[in-house]
Parts: sequence; C-alpha cells; structure tokens
Amino acid sequence: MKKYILDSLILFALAIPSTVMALSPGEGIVLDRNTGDYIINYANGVGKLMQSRFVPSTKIEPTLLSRFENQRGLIRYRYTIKNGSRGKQPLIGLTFDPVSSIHSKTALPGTVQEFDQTAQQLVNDPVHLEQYVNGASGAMEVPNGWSCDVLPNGGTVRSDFRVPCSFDDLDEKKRNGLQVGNSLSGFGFYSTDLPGVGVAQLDGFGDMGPSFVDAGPHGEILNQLDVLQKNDFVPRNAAVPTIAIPSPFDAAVLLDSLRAQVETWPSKQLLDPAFAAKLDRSMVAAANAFRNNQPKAGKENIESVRKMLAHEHYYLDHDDEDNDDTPEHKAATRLTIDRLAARVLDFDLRYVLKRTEKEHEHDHDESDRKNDQ
Amino acid sequence: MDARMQKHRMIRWVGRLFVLLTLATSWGAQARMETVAAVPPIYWYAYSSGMVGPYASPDEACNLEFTNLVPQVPGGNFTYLGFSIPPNGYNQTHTLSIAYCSWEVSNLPIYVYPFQPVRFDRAIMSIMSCPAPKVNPTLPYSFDWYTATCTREAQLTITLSGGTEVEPSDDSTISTLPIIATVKQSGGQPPANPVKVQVSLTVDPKTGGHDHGDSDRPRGSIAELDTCPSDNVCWPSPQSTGSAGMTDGNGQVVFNFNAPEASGKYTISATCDGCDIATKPVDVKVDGLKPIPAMPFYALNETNGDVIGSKPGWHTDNHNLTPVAAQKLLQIAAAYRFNPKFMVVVDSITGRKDFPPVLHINDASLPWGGVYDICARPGACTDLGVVAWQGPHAEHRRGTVVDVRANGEDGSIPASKKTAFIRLLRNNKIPYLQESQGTSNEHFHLRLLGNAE
Repeated sequence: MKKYILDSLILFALAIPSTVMALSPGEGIVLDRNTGDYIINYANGVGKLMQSRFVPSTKIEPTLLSRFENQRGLIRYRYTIKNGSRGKQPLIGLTFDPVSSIHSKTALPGTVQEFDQTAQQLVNDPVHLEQYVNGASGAMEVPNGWSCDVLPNGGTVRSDFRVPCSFDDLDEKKRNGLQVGNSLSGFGFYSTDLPGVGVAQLDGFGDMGPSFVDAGPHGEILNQLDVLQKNDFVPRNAAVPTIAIPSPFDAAVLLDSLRAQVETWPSKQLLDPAFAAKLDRSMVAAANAFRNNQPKAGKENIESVRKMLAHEHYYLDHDDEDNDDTPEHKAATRLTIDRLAARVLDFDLRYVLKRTEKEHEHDHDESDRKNDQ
Repeated sequence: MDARMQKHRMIRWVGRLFVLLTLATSWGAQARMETVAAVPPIYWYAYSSGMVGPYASPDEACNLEFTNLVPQVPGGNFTYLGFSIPPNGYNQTHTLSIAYCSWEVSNLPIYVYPFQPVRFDRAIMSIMSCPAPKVNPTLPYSFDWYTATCTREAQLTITLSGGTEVEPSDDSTISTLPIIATVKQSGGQPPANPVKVQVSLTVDPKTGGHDHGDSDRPRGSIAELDTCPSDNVCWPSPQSTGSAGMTDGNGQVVFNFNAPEASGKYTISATCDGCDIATKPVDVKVDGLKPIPAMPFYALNETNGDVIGSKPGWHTDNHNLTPVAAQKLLQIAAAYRFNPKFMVVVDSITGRKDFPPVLHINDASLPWGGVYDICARPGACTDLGVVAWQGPHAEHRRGTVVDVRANGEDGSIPASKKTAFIRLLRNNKIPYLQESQGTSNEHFHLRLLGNAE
C-alpha cells in the first residue's frame, strides 16, 4: 500500500508540471477555500489576464434513498432525496446515468440518431413531434414542481438511458429548489432489469457552468473547465436497473451477470475483498449447479450467500424500506459490505430463486400436461 | 530508270518517312523542363545614347550622365530585359531589369532583341547569368526572356507521394502529413550522386471558407521549420549546409508537411538540381463537416434572410457541423421548442403564455473547419483589434461547437429562461461557456458532443 501511495505521489508530481506548462502564464483554476467557489484566471485573446468566478453545484450534503420491489414482473424503483442540513444551496438536480431498460408505454429514443430520424419524419407534424419530444418523460414518476427526462445516454448499449431530473421553476437568484434540511420523495420508474449499485449525481443551485464578460479563455484551460463542469455534482450510490434478465430465463447466466456486478464493488469500496471472495465462491457454485441441471444445489448455494449477507445486515429482505441507517440497522451493520449493496444482491438472489421455482412449477405443469395427453 | 536510281529514290523516301515519323512521335510530347533562377553576377547599366556600366547598384547607374558607350558585358551569357513597375524612379527591392530613372520621354528608341522597340529615356538595365548546372553540366541552361529564369530539359525527374489530406493544426493530433520526394534518372534508377531536394509551399488564399484570403496567409511549414513565409523555396533553408533535403540511396527524401491552423487548398512543390518541378495538392481540412440542415426548431437565418453570423467578404459559410453534432443540436433545439417550462408570458393582461423564438444559431464551423478568425475583419473585435489567421474564436474548429444567441435581441433566449436553458444543457451533458455576458454579443458556446475541441 505504501508503495502504491508513493507511486501515486510521483505520478501526481509529474502530472502537475505538465498541466501547468500547457497553460499561459498566470492562468489557472483555484479553489477559494473561504467561499468554495472556483476562481478562473485566464488569458484573453490578446494575452491580458482576466478573472471569472464559478460557483460549483456541490455545496450540498445530500442523501439518496433507494427502494425497489418486484411488481408483477417489472421492477419498480423509487427514490427519496434529502438536502442535508449542512448544505449551503438548494438541491435542484438528480441524475441517473446509466439506467437500463426503462419501461415506458411510449417509445423511448434509444440513440441520438433515432431521435434525429423521428424528428425529421415528424417535422411537419408538430403535435405528434411535441408528444414524441416530451413523451419520454411520461415513463417517470416525478414529484410536483420537478420534471425528468429520459435521454439516450450516448453509450454503446442501446437500452441505456440518462435520466436527469430537475426542479422546474429555477429563478435567476438561485434561491429555489429543495431547501436545506428538507427531503422529497416521489421519483421513480419501472424497469425490466434487476438492480445493481450505480451512482446518482445530485447538484445544488450553483452556476452550472462558467461565464465570462468577454470571449473567454482558450487553450488548455478550456479542457480544465470541461473537467470541472463534468464533475460538478455530488455522487451518491443508488440502486438502479443494471442487470438484464436473460430471455428465456437462465439462472446460471443471470448469476454470472450478478457476479460480474459484484466484482465491481470492492473497487467502489462497497465490499471487502475477502468477503467478496467468499460470496463469489458460493455464487460460482450456484451458477455451476444450475448449469449442471442441479437446481436444488443451486438454490442451496444461493441461500448460503443470503445467509452471509444477513449475517452482515439485518432486514435485507424488507424491500419497501429504504437504506436509511436506523439505530437498529446500524447495530447490525458491518464493514464487510455496504448496506445498499447487500440489499441489492439479496433482492437479485431472491429474484433468481423465485424465477427458478416458477420455472420448476412450469416444467412440472408441462410434463403433467404431456402425461395427461 | 535503272536499279541504282530506284534504290536511291527508295532510300530518299524511307529517309523522308523516318523524318515524318520522328516529327509525329515528338509532336505533343512536351519535354519536362528544369528551371532555376538566374543568379548573380548582376550588373547594372545605364542607357542614354548607349549602355554604360557595369555598376554595382541601380543608384550608381541612375546617377550617371549616360554618356558612355555600352561596354563589353563581362561574365554572363544571357541578358534579360523586363519592365519595372514604378513609373517614377526605380524600385530597389523589385527584381527589375529595366528601371526608370526619370519619366522624361524623349522618344529615344531602344532596340533589344527579341522585343519590339521600347522607348525610354534614361533607362537602366540589369544583366543576369545562368548558373552552371550541377547535374550534367555539359548541357547548359538557356535563359528564358519571358520568365527571367534559366531552363533546360530536365536531367532528373522528381515525384511527390503521400496523402492528400491533413487536418489543420492546433486542435488536431493529425496535422502532419509525411511526404516522399523521389528523384530518378531517365532510366528509372536513382541519381548517381545525392541531390538536394528543395521544397516550397503555396496556398490558394481564399479557400477553406476564408473569403478574406490574402498573400500573408500562412502556408504551414516543412519538416522542422516553424513557417514558410513566402512562396519561395522554404526547405531546406538557404542557410542549411547539412544533409537536410539530400536524397538517400533510393533517391528519396522524406519530409513532413505541417499544416497551419487555417483549412484550405495548399500545394507542395519540390525540385532539385537537374530536376523538373513536382507539385502535390493537399487539402487541409477537418473531414466530414456538413452544413447544418434547415429545421424549424432553430434559426440559421435572420428574418430578413441574412445568414446569422455571416460576414460577406470574410466568412459566409459558418454553419457547419459533424452529423452527430447536428443531431445533438436538433435534440436540444426540439426540447427547447416544445418543453412547456420554456414558455413565457406573452400577454400580461390575460397571462397567456407561448414558446419563445426558436434557438438562433450563430457561428458553428467553417466548411473545412480549422481556425475561425472572426477578428480578421476590421472592427469585429474592438478589444483585440485585427487578428487574422488565428484565434480568438476559441474552438469552432472541428464541427462540434455552436454559439446560440442570448443577447436580448430578436431570437435570443429570454433572460428569464437562461437558467432553465442552462439546466437543459446540463441534463443533456452538454458543457457550455456563457460568453460576453452582459454585452450585445452574449451567447452560449455549446460543446455539442460533450467535450472541448
């Protein structure tokens, strides 16, 4: 670990001079520690140094609570946001990206190209075009005064979406939105995919982007501003649709997908690597058992994983509860696995069990029918 | 007729036929020519009743009384008579052969072969020489009166190979184009001894969307040089004494064409001692930019039909994007056009709301991308002055950035909706800069593909 830190420091030391060298003399972005704002010093078109202030959207301490439940084959996701009392800005935005397979009664544009084609087809039909442009938001549950979009996220997977939600009535003085100390529920959607642990982006009412009294900066500092804008949010873990259910259903394949998701958790500090190895052994055994047509052994291994999780956190199967750390929950919480991650994995494993039983019953029914014939 | 006579006639006819065939085959086959500049010694002569000189400078020649006779020309083989530009006095910087010392016409005839009689009073003349050829010096150059150059049939051929397209510099990592010059003898083999290849660059000044093109337009550079400031031989530099430009054992020289910031049509020319001239056109461009398609969700023209942001005589083709960026623009513009949160009160009495004007699109990129030098136009940038062939219109070079009007004038995003518009951009992962805030040029600078160019 020490070596890693040392290497990191060396890399950091190397990176800084190279970045500074690319800037014009006097240029740079500095955090004003008194206000939390960024001071942008830049050279204008004739090399004169100018200054601009950028108020980031990160002066909040938000909490995000995720709930998810199986409703007749669709997974319903619901979220509550809270603007922590130590924040300094109203909370105005919540974004999930990526989110997979959102269920909608209207067609969702899978790609920017699809949107473009449809818009061009409907160019002389403004009524339908308006429905198309705004229709995607109908897939969302949104609290009053807020709105959400469902946008192609631009990734390689067609069913991946970006879901940005915003407070509607943004004023010029940056005063409105979800005020400090308040919470708001009512965000949600349905998906055909099982939950994984993703990152939601929450943002306060900052500037949202830099502004300049002139033509602004040039060169390397533009790239730095780009990075600043792209990271101008507070991340929070959220349960989001991530894992596609294979069709036809295949428990082994689904377990492989779950394992792939769990493998990402140690690097996100959600899961202790040693505990991850223990979980993985049982999940591998479960997947292999299903692959070898030994459903009983498969279920036993899944139950074994669930027991390990239950040993770390209580009440994981209370789907309608959020992951709020009540005193009771805290008493049971260990450092081996994040509570949200444990809830998500337990939910997904229960789904596998339920589907396996259903498939088993279905197989029995089929064979009974054949015997009757 | 006896047999001897018949044989004699037959030989004569065969001979004539041979001559005719030789003429026919040579007809239209234009010899490849080697051309070099005439070089010093340059002598200056004054003319009055005859030629007087030589003198070291036109000053000396003009200050004479023009009374001496033409002396024997020392040195050079050929003379050159041209016409100088100044009607009054001579121009020392001009490569002139005849310059006027005065403008007092006195009908003195000067007969100089092969020109028609020219009448000057008190003219001065220069005399140039052709250099001795470095390759096959037994075949001397001839002086070309019309171009003031020395020519002969090329002893070597030179060709240029390599790509024909490269991106403009500054925002590109592929703005360097490797070029190979290959020199061969008439039999196809490389020259017996290494020869020095000389390269020059020219640019069609009004290409790439720069209607304001001028002779100062940067041409880019060759190899290690920073710039090629004129159409003359640029590389190797005249001061270079090393191996730069020398052919290798295969008769080849490899060099890079370093594109300038401005897109357009450029020409690389190369020659060598004993060579003809090879030229290679190169398009400096960002490939794949297309005009933004006309759509009802955004405006590319003012209500009077003028193209928004177009400046006739400078840049008129300013609405070009990559297709993906154009699709993203459409997505944003349609969302702005149809989302009820952008409605504004249009009747304060009834409270009736309506959508604001569609987004008004100012500059995107020039048709081939590259630097968009808006400050080349005098008066365009009051704070910066005239700045041609470089910034300060940051980005706008690769067809992924567009400006949207927000200055409070017709077609602008209403002040009360700017925050909502910013939120729309943020939701769509479009970083932006709000530029010239509070001025008549206020606009949003959108990076449609989510990245700085």
